[in-house]
Amino acid sequence: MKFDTDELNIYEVESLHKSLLEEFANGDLFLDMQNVNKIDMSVIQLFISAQKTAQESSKKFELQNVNEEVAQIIKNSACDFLLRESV
Amino acid sequence: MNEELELFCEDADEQLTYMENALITMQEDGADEESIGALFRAMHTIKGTAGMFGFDAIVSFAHVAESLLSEVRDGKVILTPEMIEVFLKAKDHTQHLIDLAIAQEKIDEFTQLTNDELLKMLEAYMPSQHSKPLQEAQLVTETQAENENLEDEILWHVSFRLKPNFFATGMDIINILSFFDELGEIKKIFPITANVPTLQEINPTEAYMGYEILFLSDAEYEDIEEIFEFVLDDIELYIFKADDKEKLKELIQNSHDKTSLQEELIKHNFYDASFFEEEKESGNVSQNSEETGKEVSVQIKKTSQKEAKKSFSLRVDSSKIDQLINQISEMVIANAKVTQRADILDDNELSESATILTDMLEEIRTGVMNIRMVQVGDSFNKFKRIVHDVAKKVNKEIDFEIIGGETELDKMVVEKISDPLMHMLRNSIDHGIEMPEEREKLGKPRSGKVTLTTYPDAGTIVIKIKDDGRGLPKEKILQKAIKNGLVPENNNLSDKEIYNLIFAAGLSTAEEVSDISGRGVGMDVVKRNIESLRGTVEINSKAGEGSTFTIRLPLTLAIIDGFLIQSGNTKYIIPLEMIQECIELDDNYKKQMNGSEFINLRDSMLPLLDIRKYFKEDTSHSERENVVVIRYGDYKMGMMVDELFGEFQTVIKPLGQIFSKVPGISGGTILGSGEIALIFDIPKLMEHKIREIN
Repeated sequence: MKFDTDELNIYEVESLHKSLLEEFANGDLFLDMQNVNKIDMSVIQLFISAQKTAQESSKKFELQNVNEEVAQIIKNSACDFLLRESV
Repeated sequence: MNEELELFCEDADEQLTYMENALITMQEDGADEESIGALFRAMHTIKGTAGMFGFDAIVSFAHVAESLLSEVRDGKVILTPEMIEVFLKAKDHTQHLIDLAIAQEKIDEFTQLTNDELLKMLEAYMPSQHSKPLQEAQLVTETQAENENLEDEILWHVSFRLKPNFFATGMDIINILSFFDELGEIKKIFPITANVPTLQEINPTEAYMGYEILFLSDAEYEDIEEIFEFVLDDIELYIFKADDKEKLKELIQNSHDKTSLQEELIKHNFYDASFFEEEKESGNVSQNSEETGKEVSVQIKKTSQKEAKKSFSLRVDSSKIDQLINQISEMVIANAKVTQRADILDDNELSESATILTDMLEEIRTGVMNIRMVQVGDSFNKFKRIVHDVAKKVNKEIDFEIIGGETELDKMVVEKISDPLMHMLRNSIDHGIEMPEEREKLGKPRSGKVTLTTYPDAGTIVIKIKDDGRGLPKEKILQKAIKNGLVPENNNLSDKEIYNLIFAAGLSTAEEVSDISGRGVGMDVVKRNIESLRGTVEINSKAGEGSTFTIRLPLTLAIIDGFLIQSGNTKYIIPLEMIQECIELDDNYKKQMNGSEFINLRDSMLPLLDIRKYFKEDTSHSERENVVVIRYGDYKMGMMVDELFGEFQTVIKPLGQIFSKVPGISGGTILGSGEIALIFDIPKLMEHKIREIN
């Protein structure tokens, strides 16, 4: 799944949630973050939820091509575990 | 606007006003280290709080201004008058950016252009021609702070959980977390994710997360709490010293997390498992440095001496105070009823209790009123900027002075009087003060002197605007008024009456209409605004020497100390502070009067106003007649009344539309008996008497 938007935040989080649910129904979830430059806590929280869902259902969840800005935001939120590759 | 944004606006407004005042003062008196430091902190705070809301445009602009101020503070750049001008413009621009951000409007082309130009101007002053990158600049400040205060550092445990509606605040917790770096060093941090449901159960707009933080800083509890200033109602927050076992226990006991908080804290090396064992001595908190992986122990300093209570201020919505004043007003009325009842019943005990209650109510009343009182100087300082700008625009030199800034006045009154004062100051500079060359020819100093003086006087606050300019053009005003049909040609107006004509709508004598003043709108509005505050305005002027505008305002607008009297069948209240003395109008005085309305009071003629006659009251039922001598400003007058009852705590109630045009009455109050007493509008009665004499 690839995003076209530059920023993901609370305004998009509901539709993002819907898409994640749909994608998960089809199997593993790899999010291509190449075009995303900014995210907020609501989105990070949703990623955490997705990671948890993946672990419980033995599926894979991974953020891919995370650019420096977004990586920094995730690190600042102390949620670096989202950046690790899924096993 | 949500509450957080409102707080941000108030805070930013305060910081910007502070900046403006500091810059103007620096321009006049030169810069000192302390004010430069304060200037830097103001810009720094704006940058920080704007960052919390994700207002990036404000952050990047404020960052450059802050960087330059930092260089100035460090003595690497000298603050020149030109630079102060640029900073003043930067202040205005920041205000504009904030307005746009609040209105959620995009930055327009013009604003962007101003933004770029100002950035260029600011950067040109930087020694290296450009500001440091954001991260680096912050680091420098941090390191400095760290080196200075290494010895007083405390290891704090900060724990918070976002309440479900947190995201509705519009604040991003990541921005808030970044603020910790400004105060100290985050030693350890981990998010609490146990409460985040799976995708099937989550409501993505609700917040489920929290954080545990070990934070090393020399900051006090209040400083750390301030990081969360805008979201205190939207999180559950615990801040305590990491060696405080009791607080830690309380935190763990109150935790609603789905995993054991104690285990999580041990797992993340916040505390050794042994720390939770009762018999162990408190004091050692083990922590694992993430970078080195080495186990280090931080001995927590005993800092009881730092916990000395310090005074702090609260920001309270003014409507809450208004509500309190209203309730106290109702209590005063209810208490008057009890006092009256005690008198009728001749019940001494009840009477005594009522008296105690009256005294206590008076104390509470004074206390609550004091909350609303602010020093006028804080608000009036902004006029320095206006005077500075107007003077520059009209190429005049002005020496502006504020005297009596420490005088206290109701905050609401201060705010409402601000516009009229601004207008009058502009007029003084634009019309009153002559051009520097003209002044030199007249033998005056090049700089025109404008003073804004405030002082309390007999239950009122006096605000004077005085200039040493050319004075009001009496003839011109009169001619214009005749031309406009405001006064007849064969009038017999006194100087004061002529000057007062400038308050009539549509009367401007300015030869050229400038964008500062002279459009003939304004002075009538000025007078109306002052009168809406139950105030008066008076003009004194002398050709070639200057003009003085004197505004008199009542101290408060809600409850006053009054003096209850009766005339005919009606009871009236006179504001106590305006009363000088009461005398009995005996036969001796009556003989002196000989049909006139004057008495000789200790060798000076005192004009009398017969209240019964003025308000067309019935004949007196009283055996005696009395005169209450009142003073308002420079004027004295005696009021002929029947009965004197004495002091009365007066709750001012508006009388409604029908009575709004009754001259001489400013409001009403309810007496203990349920009767209504009317409150005299002393300035209006005085005006009537003066007109009658003339």
